[in-house]
Amino acid sequence: MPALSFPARSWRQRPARTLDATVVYVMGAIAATLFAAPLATVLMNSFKTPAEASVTPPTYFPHSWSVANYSALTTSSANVAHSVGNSAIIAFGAVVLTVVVSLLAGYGLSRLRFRGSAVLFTIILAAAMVPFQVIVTPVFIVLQSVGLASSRLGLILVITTFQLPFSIFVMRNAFEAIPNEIWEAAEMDGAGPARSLLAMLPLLAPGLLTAGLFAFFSAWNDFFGALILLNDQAQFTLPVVLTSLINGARGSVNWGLLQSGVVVSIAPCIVIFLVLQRQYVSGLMSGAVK
Amino acid sequence: MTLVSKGIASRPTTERRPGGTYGRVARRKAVLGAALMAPAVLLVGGIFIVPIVMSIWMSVSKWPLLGPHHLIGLDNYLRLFNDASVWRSFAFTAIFALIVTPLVLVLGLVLALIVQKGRPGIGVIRTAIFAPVVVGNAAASYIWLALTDPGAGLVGRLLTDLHLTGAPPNWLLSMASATTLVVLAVLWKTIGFSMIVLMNGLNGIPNDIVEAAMMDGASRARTLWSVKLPLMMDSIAFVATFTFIGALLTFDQFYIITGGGPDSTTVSAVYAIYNTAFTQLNLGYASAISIVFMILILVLTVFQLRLFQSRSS
Repeated sequence: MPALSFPARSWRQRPARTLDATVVYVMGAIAATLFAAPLATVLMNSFKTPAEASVTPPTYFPHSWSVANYSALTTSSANVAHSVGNSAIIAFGAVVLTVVVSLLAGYGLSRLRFRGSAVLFTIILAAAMVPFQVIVTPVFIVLQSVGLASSRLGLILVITTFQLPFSIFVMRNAFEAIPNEIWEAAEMDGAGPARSLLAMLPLLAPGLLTAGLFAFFSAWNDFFGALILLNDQAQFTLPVVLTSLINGARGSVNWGLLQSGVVVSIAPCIVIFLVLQRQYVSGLMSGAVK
Repeated sequence: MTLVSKGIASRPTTERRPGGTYGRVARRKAVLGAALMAPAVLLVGGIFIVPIVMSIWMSVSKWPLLGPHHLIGLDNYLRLFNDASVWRSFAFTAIFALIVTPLVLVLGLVLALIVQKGRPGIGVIRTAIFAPVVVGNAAASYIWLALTDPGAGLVGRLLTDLHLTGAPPNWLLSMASATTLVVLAVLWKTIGFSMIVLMNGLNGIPNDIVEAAMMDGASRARTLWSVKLPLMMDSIAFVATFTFIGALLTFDQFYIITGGGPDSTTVSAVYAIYNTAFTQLNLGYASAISIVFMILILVLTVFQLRLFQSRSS
């Protein structure tokens, strides 16, 4: 029966399949162009000369290529280059803290259970339900009361906290995925909790990578938290400093400088995504399944 | 056996039992486990639980950014219920989310159907559509601001060259076009996510069910509507809820692209909270607005999940 239906179907469907493929490629190419065009445009604009980047009407492609907008990042009064350093410090701090805290918590939750650990896990997961945006005001007061107002450390702690529900969830699953026998073998060899954990790190690497990856994106791309929690211009992050290029003087925006800053802001995200695409999408899905 | 002994071992009385050494080890492990959880608990407690409790306290207080604060009862809430500007921002935010969510779902589904099968080269198309997802909200906002600037923006040049408009339009002059611009910026950044999740949902449908429907003579559209969509309701509900909540919380795009203008007509709910707390420096009132907004989000989310549950059953 299947043998009979197979040729019949392929006869009926083969022309449709090639038509399908054409439609898929044409529509897919149009969609891909639409989505990639804004990124390509900002990249090309950033390599125009400062004058050409702000000319009306704009040129589609740079007449002359220049890196003047990038060298202006270090010389402009807005001090964009310094803010890149701040963003990097905050992203680095948040990644390290998120990875370490969720590694320890995941270990405790899955291998060293204690009374109340399940409840704590539920409470931590519940933190994912309340968005940062609606409790930002009291968070600001809390940081102020412990002397962390307008500090990069304060922002790192806040970003890490709101990253924890996801990263602890991921790390707990990473621990649970290691078979019991492997732990027991480590214990038989006389390894204590610390040495067992170290021995398991290679097996936990994918989970750690996912936790660190998402912490990086949320810290590097954070705008709302930095806008509110950092008040000292010396600590402003890249996304916040870029507003100073458009605010106040909407008529005379330095579009070249703005767009080179935007490229600096998105380049690490795109590069990391391209390298770790599979990891990123599967991490997204594990969050989605939750 | 191990389950039972673990359960007993966690009680402190086990030391005198024959398995006493095991009990002590288990207890040491439990203490260590608690210690390992401590950093996470400290962070979530201090930066999540404490602020939640505080926001209730602040919402019934007169709490300026500087200077002393004191309890004032429900004054902030009473003021809120008569504050037309707050309700206008809530209504605007809800309408914005109601525009964005169906578009993200439908366009994401169309793209998911296009890129679903792993044909050669499809990976590049998927990657291009998904790339904006990893760009930050702020960066995406600057990109769209630069693209659509009536002077230096390429969209204006393109529209005039195609004779679609006589001159480059200024998107920020009316509420409708300013909102349209933010909708475009949000769609650009979120559709890739919707596409990937829905593609995953489509791929999770057993092939034989779809083939059976086709054999029965169901058209493609009919198969999609009556067979595939009900079977991927979880993915659809997830995208819908995630997008809807995300849209309700939109801040960066409005702050950077429209600045809330023209005439404060595009002030989203979070933007209103931000203005109240950090421009008007009235933290108590901002907390009251936050709490009411949070309750509205919860109600809308539950309502939405119900909607999807009834559709799938």
